[in-house]
Amino acid sequence: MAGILPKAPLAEVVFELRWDVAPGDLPLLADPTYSKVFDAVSAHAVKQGFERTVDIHKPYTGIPTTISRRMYRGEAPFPLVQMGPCIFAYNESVDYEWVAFRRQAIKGALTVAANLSKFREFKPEINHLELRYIDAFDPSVVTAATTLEFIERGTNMKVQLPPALTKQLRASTAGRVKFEWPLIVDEGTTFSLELGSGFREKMPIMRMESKVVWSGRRFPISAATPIRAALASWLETAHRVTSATFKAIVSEQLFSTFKAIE
Amino acid sequence: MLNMDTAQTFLPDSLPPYPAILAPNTDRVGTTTLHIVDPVAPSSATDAARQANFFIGETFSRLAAAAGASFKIASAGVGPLFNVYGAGTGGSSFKIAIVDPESVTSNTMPDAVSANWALYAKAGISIQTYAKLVNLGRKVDGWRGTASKKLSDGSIKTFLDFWKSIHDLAVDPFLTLAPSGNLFAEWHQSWNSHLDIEFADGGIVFFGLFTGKNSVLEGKVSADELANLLRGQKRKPLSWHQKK
Repeated sequence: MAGILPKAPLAEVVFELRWDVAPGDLPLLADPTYSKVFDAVSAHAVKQGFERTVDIHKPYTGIPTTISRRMYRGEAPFPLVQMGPCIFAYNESVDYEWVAFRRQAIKGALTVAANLSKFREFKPEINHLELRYIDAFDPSVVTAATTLEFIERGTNMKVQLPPALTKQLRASTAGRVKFEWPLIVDEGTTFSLELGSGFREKMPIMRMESKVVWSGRRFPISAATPIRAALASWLETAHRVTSATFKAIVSEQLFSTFKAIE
Repeated sequence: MLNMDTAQTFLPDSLPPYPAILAPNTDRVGTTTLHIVDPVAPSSATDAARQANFFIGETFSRLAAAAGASFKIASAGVGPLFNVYGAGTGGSSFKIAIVDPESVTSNTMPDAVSANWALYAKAGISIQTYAKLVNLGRKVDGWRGTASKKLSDGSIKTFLDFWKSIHDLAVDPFLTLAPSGNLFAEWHQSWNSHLDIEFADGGIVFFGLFTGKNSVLEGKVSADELANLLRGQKRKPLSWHQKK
């Protein structure tokens, strides 16, 4: 690593893949595929240079979709590979670059899928894909005190409360809003945008999370569209939607605030 | 701490519908005391009888309860919060898992870091220092004993504001986390020539500038005042290489 921290509101990017075991049956407290997938993903991560391992849970708890291991390249906090029962995730931060991120995400997902296929008796199926972007705006760039003010000043969106309501209320002190839309192009996939305000030493902080999620019983693959191609296609769609939306939503003024930071 | 307006539940959607209660733990993987409360007939006598030590992930088979009674787990003690997933079905056995809240989301950026995200960008810190701050930001309350605190975002803000004003003449310091939750920075030239700064909330710093056997300058000032003071130092302590 070298150089100065880039100037961007993007704090973290996450690709997440989850799978289900014995879908339709009673929920299992333990993931029978875990040990095999865990070892395979760990070995794969080491090959990719993620040699520093941090185990969160000792001993293993077995709770589905909780993270139990994180793997890093040396002391760098990002990127990292995460795994746990029924979950794999890949995270990046300031060095995020889409093509490299997608490559690593797909490699990890394929490692998971290849090992899940060895457990036919438990019928494991990929049932959730997620591409998530988290942007953080602190008081040095956002002076808005509430989510509504942030929407008004920091974005190109409008949310207006009816006068009949505002007459009875003092100024908003906090807020969290979430919008969700199914995608036209990809059935089962939704895009969501969540804005929430928080406080740091009584100063407002805004957090914006935009994510694309596919969830279903079985990730659709076929002979014509094998899993690698299906994953790549889904990720491209997800990326296209999130990047286009971010540019469209964040106001030019807010964006220029970051550009001016040199 | 970055307090989102709506309390974040750490329950993953796919968890079985068991009651989930926050319980504190005095040690990440050690023992703690849970207070088992019988909601049917709560009483301090029976509750006290059901306190027990356990390990994370342990099955609670040794917690005796009246057959048919249901119970829930309440919290006791101090320390970092852990989520508790359990099934209070009564009888002499039920299973529970203690899950570190850190593990139920694949988000990994610490609150103390994201709460100052734009400041990071403005401060002109190196990626190495950023990496160090993120790693320190991942420490949780109790990281060094019961009373030790996680990195305070107020402390980071003080550091970043300070760094913004002096980064043109400073090399990356050696950074550590004090048990108080404050960031601690050191620049070392030799064993008796070093600059130590603790960054507290509200722009306050505690510093010690040691420039020889009998020369010590120390105090509690604002970060701005310290930046001005250090700019005037002929020995340029901010350029002293960090200790290895």
